[in-house]
Amino acid sequence: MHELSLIQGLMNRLEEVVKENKAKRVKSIWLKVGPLSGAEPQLLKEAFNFFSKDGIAAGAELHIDSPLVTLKCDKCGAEAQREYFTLSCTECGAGLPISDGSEALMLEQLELEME
Amino acid sequence: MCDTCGCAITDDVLEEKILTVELLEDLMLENNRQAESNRQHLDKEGVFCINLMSSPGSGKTTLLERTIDALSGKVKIGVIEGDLETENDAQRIRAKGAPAFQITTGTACHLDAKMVHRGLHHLPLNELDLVFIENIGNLVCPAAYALGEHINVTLLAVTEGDDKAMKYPVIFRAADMVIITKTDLLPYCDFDVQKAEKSIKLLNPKAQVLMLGKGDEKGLDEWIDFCAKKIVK
Repeated sequence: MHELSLIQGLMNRLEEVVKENKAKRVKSIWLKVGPLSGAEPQLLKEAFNFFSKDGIAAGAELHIDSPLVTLKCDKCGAEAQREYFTLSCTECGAGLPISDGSEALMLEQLELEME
Repeated sequence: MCDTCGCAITDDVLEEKILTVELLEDLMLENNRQAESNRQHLDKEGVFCINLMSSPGSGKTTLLERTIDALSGKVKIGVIEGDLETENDAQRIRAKGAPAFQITTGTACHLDAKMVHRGLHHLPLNELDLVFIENIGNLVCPAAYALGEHINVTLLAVTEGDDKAMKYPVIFRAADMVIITKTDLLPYCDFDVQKAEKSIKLLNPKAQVLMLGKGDEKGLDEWIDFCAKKIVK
């Protein structure tokens, strides 16, 4: 639901970075969106298409890296990588800790087209 | 034409210069900056700030009314209310004698740090000890937005079901304390307290879990004691 405001915030930041670097426009954007970040990659892309119709990011490519959650069971040691996360180990049923990085919501890198 | 080999590459492709900028910054940077400035503003005034989050109807405003009553004459409380529409909640708080500012977001599903910044300017912070932000009733979006609060408290009513922490993990991960409310309705609900507590602890081992119901003085005392200990003035 709040993907629109996230992308609005991103647009403001892009304006700043373009200005700081005296660039012409943004060519590519790389985001990292963890499965527990509270944001949906597909909705972010739709919001981006909406806000980037014109302006400095018009036609820019948005890449979204959605890392898998890596879970390791404390009891039996089984490891699993999932797109979503569950609370218990599929091997032995014990509770699973949640890996760091699963809440990431990062602007990682930009490619700017220079004057 | 290309200078090196004479191929037919066009000038604009040749001249396109690309700069790669590695930022590695939080996408919420703008909001987080404002939230940090809100927190500094509150710290300067010696005010502790608690952000209350939950689904609609789980008892946030009722908790605030009981808190204001219980701390009346001891702790000065102010409230920022967030709702899509109406001044109802702010009126309920004012009726208890505490200053309240209502933010109506129209359609927005969460409060952000900028809205709270505006709200803070409508409260007499120099006269207050404790400010509550009652977030929009929503178990999804509010969790993603820092507002400048010192701690987050998430409410879960027994009428909502004991699986809600697992279904909405982000908001329960963000909580410093989870209050299970409406426990007086436990006899009428299929809500397994142990199961709910277990999933909250699994998601968020550091969260304190508290039980509260209508007429439950013990739960209320624990909550009031918790709030009173946070006062810095």
